[in-house]
Amino acid sequence: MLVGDDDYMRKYPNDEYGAEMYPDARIWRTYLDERDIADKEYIEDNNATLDGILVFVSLTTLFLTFLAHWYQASIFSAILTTFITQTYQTLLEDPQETSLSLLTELVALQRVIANGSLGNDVPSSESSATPFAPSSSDIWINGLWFISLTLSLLTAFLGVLAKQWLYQYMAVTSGDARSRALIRTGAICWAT
Amino acid sequence: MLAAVRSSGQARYVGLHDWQVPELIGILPVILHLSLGLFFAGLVILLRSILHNLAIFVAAVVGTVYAAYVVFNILPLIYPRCPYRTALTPKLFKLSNWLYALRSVRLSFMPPTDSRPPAPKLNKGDTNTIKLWLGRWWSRLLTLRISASKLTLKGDLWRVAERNDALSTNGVLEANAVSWLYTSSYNPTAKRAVLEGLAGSPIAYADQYAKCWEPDVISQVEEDLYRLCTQLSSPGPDAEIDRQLELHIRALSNIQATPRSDFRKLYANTLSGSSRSPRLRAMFLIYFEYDFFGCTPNDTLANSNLRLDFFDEFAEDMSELRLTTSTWISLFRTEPDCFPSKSTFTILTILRDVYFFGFDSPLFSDDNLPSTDVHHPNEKMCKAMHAHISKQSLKAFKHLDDDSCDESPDALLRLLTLITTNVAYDKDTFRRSYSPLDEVSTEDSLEAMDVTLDCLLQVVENGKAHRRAITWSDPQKDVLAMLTTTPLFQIGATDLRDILPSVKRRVLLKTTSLIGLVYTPEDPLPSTAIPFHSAMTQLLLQMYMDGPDAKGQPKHEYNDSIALLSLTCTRDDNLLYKAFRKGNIIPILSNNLLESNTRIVSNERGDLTFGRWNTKYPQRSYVPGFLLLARQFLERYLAHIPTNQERASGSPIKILSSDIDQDKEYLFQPETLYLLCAALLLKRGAWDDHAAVRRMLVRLLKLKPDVESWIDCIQRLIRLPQSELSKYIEPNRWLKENEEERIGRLYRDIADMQSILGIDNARLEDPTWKQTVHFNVAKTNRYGEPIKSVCSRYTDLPPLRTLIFVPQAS
Repeated sequence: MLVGDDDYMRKYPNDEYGAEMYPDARIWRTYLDERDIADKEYIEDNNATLDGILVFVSLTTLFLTFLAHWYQASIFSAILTTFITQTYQTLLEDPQETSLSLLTELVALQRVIANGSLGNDVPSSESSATPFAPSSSDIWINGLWFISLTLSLLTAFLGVLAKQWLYQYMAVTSGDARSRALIRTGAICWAT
Repeated sequence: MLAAVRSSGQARYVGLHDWQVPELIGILPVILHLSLGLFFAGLVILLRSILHNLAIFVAAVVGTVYAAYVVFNILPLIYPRCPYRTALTPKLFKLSNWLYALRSVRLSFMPPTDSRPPAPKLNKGDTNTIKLWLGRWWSRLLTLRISASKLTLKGDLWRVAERNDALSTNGVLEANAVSWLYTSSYNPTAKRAVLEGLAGSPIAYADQYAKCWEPDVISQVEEDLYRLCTQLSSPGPDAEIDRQLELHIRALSNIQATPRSDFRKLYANTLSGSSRSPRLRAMFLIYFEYDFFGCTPNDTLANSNLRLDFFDEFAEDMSELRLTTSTWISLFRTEPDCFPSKSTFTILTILRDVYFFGFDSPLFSDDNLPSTDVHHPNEKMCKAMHAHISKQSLKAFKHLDDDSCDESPDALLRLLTLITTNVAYDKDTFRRSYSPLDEVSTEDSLEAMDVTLDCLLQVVENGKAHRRAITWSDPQKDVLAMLTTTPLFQIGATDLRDILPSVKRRVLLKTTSLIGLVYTPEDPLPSTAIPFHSAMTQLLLQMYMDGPDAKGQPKHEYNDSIALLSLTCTRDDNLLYKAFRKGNIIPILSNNLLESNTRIVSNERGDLTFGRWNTKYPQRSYVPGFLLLARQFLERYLAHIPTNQERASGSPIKILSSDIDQDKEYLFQPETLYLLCAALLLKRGAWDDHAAVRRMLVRLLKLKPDVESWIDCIQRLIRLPQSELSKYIEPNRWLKENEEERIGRLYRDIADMQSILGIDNARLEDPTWKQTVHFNVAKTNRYGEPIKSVCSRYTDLPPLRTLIFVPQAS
């Protein structure tokens, strides 16, 4: 036996004769109540899912950071710029390495000059001889991580949007029970 | 204390919305999305130099998602029901509306052509040329106007749009909502609420239920309703059970449940016997008979076999059926209000069926009704039913609000067919056997007709207001035309005032006007109806011309405006001309006709154009009519404020003739001009407001200041104060205060006109015209001034100098 608010026949008074579907009739109020119950479950489920996704995205990003750090001794954190500037350097020439080899060459040259012998003996530095080319594994790792980063961020983007939709759907509209009920129904089957 | 807290809370809430806090919060995600977009843009640029293919891939994915984002935001603006709403949607909606409205913005640098001052002549080498030219452009710039009627966007447009959209689906959403509630709720009381709520469902929704619901839902609902019906029973009378049964029965009928083979058993179980109210029994039978017939309101007698079967089947229950039907009829008689309008229509249709069938039906063969002085054994019953059908339809009409009138003229027309004649069934039978409006023309049927005609007129009017044509089908027109041939409408030589029952008179008048409205020159009135219409119009005029009739009947027992409507609908120019000539109907015409001005003046058939009148009646004896039309002209054209509606339709109301130049030419003929100005100055017709009169005059002057006719006009006008004054002044009487005021004002107005036109006084005065006024020297006026000094005051006024005051010995 239903009691209290669950018994709609008691909760809402009988309608006037002929007014059973009027804007504030019982059937619409009941609809709103029932819809609220159903929607709350649905919205809460969805909200939880979306929250989970958002958390997961941030975790993924963090994980990527960690991985990047391990891989290239760089930092990838929520501060994305750091990640960007550090990781992709594997794809570029390392300026330190280049200057080091040049310096070595310079010292060697100076030593040769001090000795008074010809500089032809000094081997030219490595970097000026061979052009820089990133290894294929670097390319793959970086490419995949970039894709992964893009997709997870887009997921978060859509997640935030969807949360807005859900919030707007639940936002209380003013008006009589019938129009509110119809607006609710309309949002669900708007394509018909 | 509590109130203070509450009000401060309310103030905070209002402040929250006043300061757009929700919108600001709603903007945060947008900023986030924007920043993410910027990040992606940067990422793509970065990757382009390193991993070109990857850059293309990322750009494609991100681009797709952002394009979708834009589409998501736009969709709700187009389909308000679309769920992709964000907090910014209302603002975007308003913005889009505003942008749309900008379409209609028109910048006009030119003043309206009519009131533009004449362009100054530009002479070569004249030093003033530039100044003049500049001045002209400057004045143009001053009159720069922005006209965008739609730019005033106030209120919460979005909520309105959302609500209107949801309510405009004509039952689809309702059907979906009810279906959802019924199928997905675990709460049995919610299902009960649905089952009872269906009782109030409008007839139009039945189709939507059939369309939107799954078949098993419908059958489930039906099943439940039947089950509930059988469960309800009580040993004695029980109002609550009656109420619930009634709700279920109505719900069953509203979803157009399929008839069930066991409904007779159901009836026997639940309804027969004394414990249920007779009203419920009647309703049950009517509803279920209806379903059993399996016919819709559109069906005709073609299905009568079906009904015969029905009656055969019910042969043994005939007494019960008859009893119920008669109780039902008596119920209609005693408590008509308990039938809501929407089911009344259905009920009426059924009743009509029964009624038509009734002549030969076994239902009425056993005559236990009191039948005195009636020829047909069933006639009394039939008459009673007819009367009550009429009465109920009358009520049904009253319940219909304007919107539904507007939306379903067909239903109304069908009802007209139903109520007035029932001709639609079988015209010959109708003529031969039964003419309810003649012999049985009870006051009820007349009353019903009266209301019907009222509603029809309203429908036609509404249709006109919304510029929506109401198409009358041929049968409906036939009905209207045939009505006029029935004995009731054969007025012929009979004077209308001899038709004593006022209802009958009203009906006649309204029918006349309706005929005027419905038939057009392309689709002329059938020849059978012409005698009626012209006779009616004649009588009408006669009535108005003669004033209150000799029998002392109050004139206002009938609706003046309706009668005038019929007068204006006449296509007989002579009649109308007569009407305008008769002085004593002018007040009525000017008061009532002017309110319906668009009809008389902008008659779509164009037969009331002034030009035609002019050529037809050159003696201009139609001054009142002229004033009426001239006033229209002045108010609309000179004021030059076309209403939005006119602007939208692009067809300004035609007043005088189709060509405005022609109108003006006519207007500025000396005779016309004089008549018009005199009417304005003397405030004949409906001009009461002096300031408005002066405004009007000034506009008229500026319209064509250089016409020769003005001199002639002023010449004649200038005598007006004199003739007015001589009307008042008598030997032993002097002007009253208000008369003095009036003459003075008249003089001032004319002098102003003169000065605006720049007409010299010398050109106007007529030296030969003198008038002698005798006065008593010894008397003083009411303020104690000696008359002599007053005389000098008057003769100081230039136009009154021609008055000669002659002292009279006391």
